[in-house]
Order: sequence, then C-alpha cells, then structure tokens
Amino acid sequence: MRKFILPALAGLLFTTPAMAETTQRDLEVIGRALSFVEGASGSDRTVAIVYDAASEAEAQALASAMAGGLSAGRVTLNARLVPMADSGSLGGADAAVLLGAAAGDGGVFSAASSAGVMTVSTDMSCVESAQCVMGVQSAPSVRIVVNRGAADSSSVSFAAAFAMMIEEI
Amino acid sequence: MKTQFLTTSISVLALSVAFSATSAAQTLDYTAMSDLFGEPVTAGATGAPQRASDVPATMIIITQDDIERFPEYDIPGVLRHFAGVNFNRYAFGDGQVSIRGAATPYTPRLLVLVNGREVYLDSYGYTAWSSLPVEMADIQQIEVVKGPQSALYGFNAVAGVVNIITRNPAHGDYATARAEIGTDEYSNVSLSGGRQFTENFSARFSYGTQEGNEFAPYAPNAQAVGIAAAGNQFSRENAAIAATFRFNDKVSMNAEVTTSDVTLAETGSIYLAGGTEYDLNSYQAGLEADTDFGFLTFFASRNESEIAYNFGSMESSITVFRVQDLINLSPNDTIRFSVEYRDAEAGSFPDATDGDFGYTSSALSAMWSHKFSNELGMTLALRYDSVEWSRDASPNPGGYPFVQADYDRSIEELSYNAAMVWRPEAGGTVRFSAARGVQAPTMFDVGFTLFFGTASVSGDPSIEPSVVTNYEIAYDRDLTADITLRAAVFHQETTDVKGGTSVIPVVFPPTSPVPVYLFGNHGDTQVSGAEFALAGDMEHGWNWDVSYTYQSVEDDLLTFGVFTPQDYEGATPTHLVNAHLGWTGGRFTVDGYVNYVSSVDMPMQPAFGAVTSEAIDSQVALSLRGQYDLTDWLSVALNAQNVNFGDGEVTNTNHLNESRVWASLTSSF
Repeated sequence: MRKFILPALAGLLFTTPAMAETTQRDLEVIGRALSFVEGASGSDRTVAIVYDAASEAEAQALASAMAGGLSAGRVTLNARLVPMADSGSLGGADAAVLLGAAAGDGGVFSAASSAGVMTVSTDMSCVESAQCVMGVQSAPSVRIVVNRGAADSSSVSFAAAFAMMIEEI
Repeated sequence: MKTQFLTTSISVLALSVAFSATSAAQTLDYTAMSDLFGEPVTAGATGAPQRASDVPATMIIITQDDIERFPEYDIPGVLRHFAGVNFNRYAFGDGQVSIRGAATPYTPRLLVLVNGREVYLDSYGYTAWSSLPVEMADIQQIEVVKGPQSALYGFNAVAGVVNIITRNPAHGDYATARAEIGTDEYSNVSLSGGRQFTENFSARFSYGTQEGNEFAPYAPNAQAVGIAAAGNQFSRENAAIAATFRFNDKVSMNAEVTTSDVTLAETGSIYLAGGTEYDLNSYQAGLEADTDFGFLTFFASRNESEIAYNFGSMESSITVFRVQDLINLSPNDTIRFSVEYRDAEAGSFPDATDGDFGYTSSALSAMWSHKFSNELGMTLALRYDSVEWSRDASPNPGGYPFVQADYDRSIEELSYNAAMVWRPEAGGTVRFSAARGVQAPTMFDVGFTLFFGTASVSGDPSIEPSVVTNYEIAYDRDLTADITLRAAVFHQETTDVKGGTSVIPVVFPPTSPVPVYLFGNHGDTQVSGAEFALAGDMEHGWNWDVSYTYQSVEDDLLTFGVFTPQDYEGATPTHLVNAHLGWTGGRFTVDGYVNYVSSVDMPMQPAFGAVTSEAIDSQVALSLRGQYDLTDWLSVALNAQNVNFGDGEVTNTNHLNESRVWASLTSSF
C-alpha cells in the first residue's frame, strides 16, 4: 500500500555514508524537487556537483551514483563534477549540489545565482545563511527548506503547490 | 498499511490555506508529491496542499493502491474499513456512510465531492453513492476529513467531508480496462484512461456499466417487499470526460462533463423503502492563476438532476461560482479570502403545479493561519452564508397551509473552524479543535408538496438549519518505524435536527385545509466517543491494521414513532471494530478483512405513517480478496465480500446483506 517507502528502500541499497554527507537518497529527493522548479522542460536534469578537496571522494561517489542517469521520479539526473575553484563554469546546469566548503561559500553561490542555477545542500546552515537556495534532509523524514531571498537572487521559482508544502525562510 | 492521519505540522500551517480543494485537487501531482515526501499528500483538510502528517484535521487518506486491495464494488464499501466510519448497506447499491454517528438512510450529514465539485444532492440532502460518475480504477485517492468543515466547504459538511480525486493525465498517461462477473448476476465493465497530448493539453475519460441483483428485502418491511416485487435489478451506467489546458507555468484552466444513469432500490430518510432512477449530469470549469496578488482560483459548476422517486419525479439544478485568493503576509502568517454564489432551482415537486422554487446564496469566508513557533500553531476559519428562498406561486390552497409569501425566507449563518496544534518534546502531535458546522434546509425540507385528497405532506418554509458543534482532541505518533498510532476523542452536539416528515399529521384545520404531515426540526442530539487505530508493516510482505471506535449517543428528540421517525440513539452502534491482514509476495496479493458492528435498534417504516423499531443483532463480516498478476499489465482477482453472510444477514430494516463473490480481470497500462 505504501508506494512512498520506495525512496527509503532505495536508500538502504546504497552504502551508508558518513554523517552529513550527501547520499543517493538525498539526490533522489533533490531530483524529485527539481520536477517542481518552474521553467524547466523535458525529463533530463544536469546536476553540477561542486566540491572542495576534502569532499572530492563524496563527489565521486555521487557522480558514480548518477552514472548513466539516475532516475528520480519523472526526471533523470546526470552529474557534472565541478571543482569549487571552477564554479564559474556552472552555466547550463539545472542545479548545483554543494559539498564541503562549497556549501556556504559566497563565491560559489554568487557564481551559481548569476547563472540562474539552483544551489542545494544537505548542510542546512547553507540555506539558513542564504548561501544556498534549498536545503534538503531525507532522513528520518523528508525536510525541504527554501531561502526566498536566495531563490529570488538566483531567479529560481517553484510550482505553487510545491512551495506550500515546504519550509520557506 | 492503511493510512489515517490526525495532526498538523506547524510549519505547514502558515501556508495551509492556499488552494481551494478544487484547484489543488486538479493541480496537485499526488504521485510525484507522495514519492518526494515519502507519505501521501492532500488538499482536503484546509484546501491547501499538505503532507498527510501535517494536516490540521483528523483525516483518512485512501490511495489507489489501498482501494485495489479491498473486496468492495463501491466507495461506501471501501470506507467501512476505517475508524470512525459508520456504514450500512440498505440495498445492493445503497451503501450509506457517516462519520461518528449512525449511517442513517440518505445520510444527510456528510458532504461528498468529486474533484472539488459537490455530488451531494442538495435537493434532498444526501449522497446517492451509486450515481457518482467515478470508476474505482480511476480514483487517485479518497480523502475523508472528520468533523464539521462548513467554514471551508460550506453547508452540509457537518459530520465530515469525503473528497474523491480522480487521476490526472497531466502527471502521466494511463489506461485501465476491467471486466468483472460474479454471483447473483453481477457484472461490471469499467474503462478509464488519460493522456497528455501536448505539453499544455491533457484529457481523460471514464466509462462504466454495472449490474446485479438487488439483495432480498427484510421480510417484516412490507414496503421493501413490495418494491422488490416490482423490480429487483440494480443497474448503473456513467461516463466522464475532462480536459486541462495550461497557458503557461502560472495559468491553467480545466473543464469536466459527467453523466450517470442509475436504477436501484433505496431507503429514504424516513426509513421508507423506495425504488429510484437517477439521471444526473454535471458541468464544471476552473481557472487557476499564480499572480503577484496571490494564488487566484475561479471555479464554476452546474449539476442537473432528474430523479424519479417512487412517490414522484423531481428536476432540479444547482449552479455555483467561486473566487478565492491566498496571500502570504509573512512566513508565519497567511490569509485567504473567498466569495461564493449559488443558484439552486427545483420544479414543483412531487405535485407539479405548486410553483417552482429555489434559493440563491452568497458566502464570504476567510482563513488565517499563524505560526507561533515550530512547536505551536493555530488556524482559524470563518464563513458567513446568506440564503434567500423564493417560490414562483402559492401551493394549492386546498392542500397546504402556506402561500407564496411564506417562501420568501432568509437564512444567515456563521461557521467556524479553529485548531491549535502542539508538538510536545515527548513526541507525537496533539491537536485541539473546535468547529461549528451548518446543515442547511433542503428543497424537500422547504418546498415539498404532495396532496392526496384527505391529507398532504409539505415542506416547511420556516424550518431552521441544523447546527453542529464539535470539540476534539487528537493524538498521533509513530510507535516504531513500522507501526503508527492514531487516536481521537470527540464530543459533538447537533441542535434543530432536521428529521424529515412527521409520522402523523401535525397541522390540522382550520390552520390548514387538510391534515398535514410536515417536514421540520425534531430536537437535539449529541454524540461522544473515541477512536483508535494501529497499523503496521512486517517482514516478508505482511501488513496489518486494526481499529476500534466507541460512540455514545444521547437524543433529545420529539416522540419517536409519532412526531419523528428518527432515533439516533438507538440506530448508532456503540462499538465498531475493523481488522485487516494482508500479504504480498511475488505476483500474489492476498487480503482478509473483519468488520464488527454492535447491535442497534433501528427504525422501520413498512408503510407510510407506521413507524416501528426493530432490534438488529451485532454482526461480524468476513471478506477476502486474492490477486495474481499474470503479467506486468494484466491481473486476475477473486473477491469474496461478507462471505459468512450467506443468503442474507440482517444489518438494517430494509434489505438483507448477502455474500457476493466476483472475479475481476484488469488490464492497466
């Protein structure tokens, strides 16, 4: 009866990560949330993974999870690895997942927002400090927080129904 | 695991008043949303899209996956398996449902909607469930909101609201064909499908035809026996077509047309058996716009009905216009304003020459949600209704005590819903709520005229609305990762109960030309009770749920059998118990259900004016279902409903309930 346990099962299939790292389950939540970003069309979404040296392994793991396309609801996620120093090359991505020091870095957010790329992190302090558009937590229950100011400066908007079901700060 | 939700998330309260149920029902991508959040989503509690665990009301959400696993052929049958739901099947196609109180014949207290359009028959004040233009396989989910909801939904949402949401092809193409055949000449063919033709245009359709033998009449009920002798076949045919056009990301419009044609045996509101034919048509359209001035919704609908009761035919219509807007004042405060206009008309009925009649109504409503903190929030909703009745002519002066001017009647009523939600550190969610709902006079209550020479039956233009006040405390909690607890205690008072016609004439000459049986208010009643539900998933594909409902009713009505045929205290079962055990493995799915209903004393009217009471023993019903998936798109199922009832179990004073068995072949793409 509960089709909605599938994301949880998918998460279990993935190697349990270190605490605070972005998991495949987080990616699936991010991907499903991307379905509700206005202006996008088609089913393919390019997700830039922005990382620093300390989070390179985590970034590689996420890219591996998306190898060949990761299905998340009605969209398919394809990874593009972007070192933090190259954040000026984010143009064309649908979203940027910020890892390590990239989450909370003003330069990364500025580059992403000027390119109209939605920034997202599992580090909630990033969205709370307006350095990310979206903060995502997938366990124990799904929590999505959007920073309205960051979204406006990134020219990112969401479907009205979605916006009413998340936290907005 | 059946899903029943009671509570509220403070965070969502601040945003929880946005959409009308109509707009949200049509725009909400239920599948994508529930997959994203890991739980069902709904717009039924406040009109705004919400996660099931966040809703500020006691709710049941029944998904398509749930529906498929019940050995039931209609929606009332599905609803009987949930806590707080009273159910009785007065004939094969006459299942009646109420929340927290007896499922009396033609239950008037539950407002039912399909995609936000009222299918509650405003003319008489009940829902003819078999006439709903919906196929079971076409339902996305059924949402049941318990308690008065008049401030949100308007008149007649006093016991609760059932909102039926159909699938939306804008969120994925689909097609389902189902053929069923069973005992007692049962057959059912159901087709439904939807497709997104372009990025901006999608459409869906459904068609169904269903037949079967009626149940045997309850032998002491002469009227039911006579109706059965005149015809003993249930038949239903219905169709719906709908389309959605999206102008851009911010603006879309939708339209839907439905028709249904049903012939069946029933029991009327005064426990008098009847045979009825329904010919219903509906039209609706909506426009939704996400603007700088808020989320605007425009909605219009028209229901047209021709209903042939065994005492006469009635033609009526109701047209509704609604505009509303949501404005987010701040992250902690949201307000919503709504304006609604209704125009309802009925032909003189059943006597055809007493003047057509009807009403217009205007309503203003507002809602405010405020978030004090992440642990505490509040929602307040208010609605003001003004109703103006009128009649085209005076009824026959030889038969009735009323003249045309008596029908120039105004009614003004205020409804409210208030909820305070608290999430204690100890865990779970506690909700305190109070509500005032209004049950408006119907066409029957006001304008009915039937003259038979020496006496007449008449509506009463001075009848008062019934007012229902409800107080509730609810608690829900995940006991473990796989087991959930839902609980609620409630107290509900109803004043000025509209009890249908009097059993004996109550107006006599010289006040009237002949003795008159009069519709009217028959007193007060109240119900107190509690409900508990546990549900869980286990290893190896097993799942289970169990629920218990306790109800204690106290009536303060006019003398039973003389001035009123109603006896809520006697007709409401004190104890309801439901249990379910299911298993899924490979291509097999098996489910078993048990429903216990304690004994009642139920009114019976075997002939007009002769009301008695019959003792109905407690019942245990056992139902089973097994399904085997032949392929990914083709399945067969065997359904056995009430297998222990055999050729007849007495569950009411109209028809026996029989065991029915049928096989299903379903193809889904």
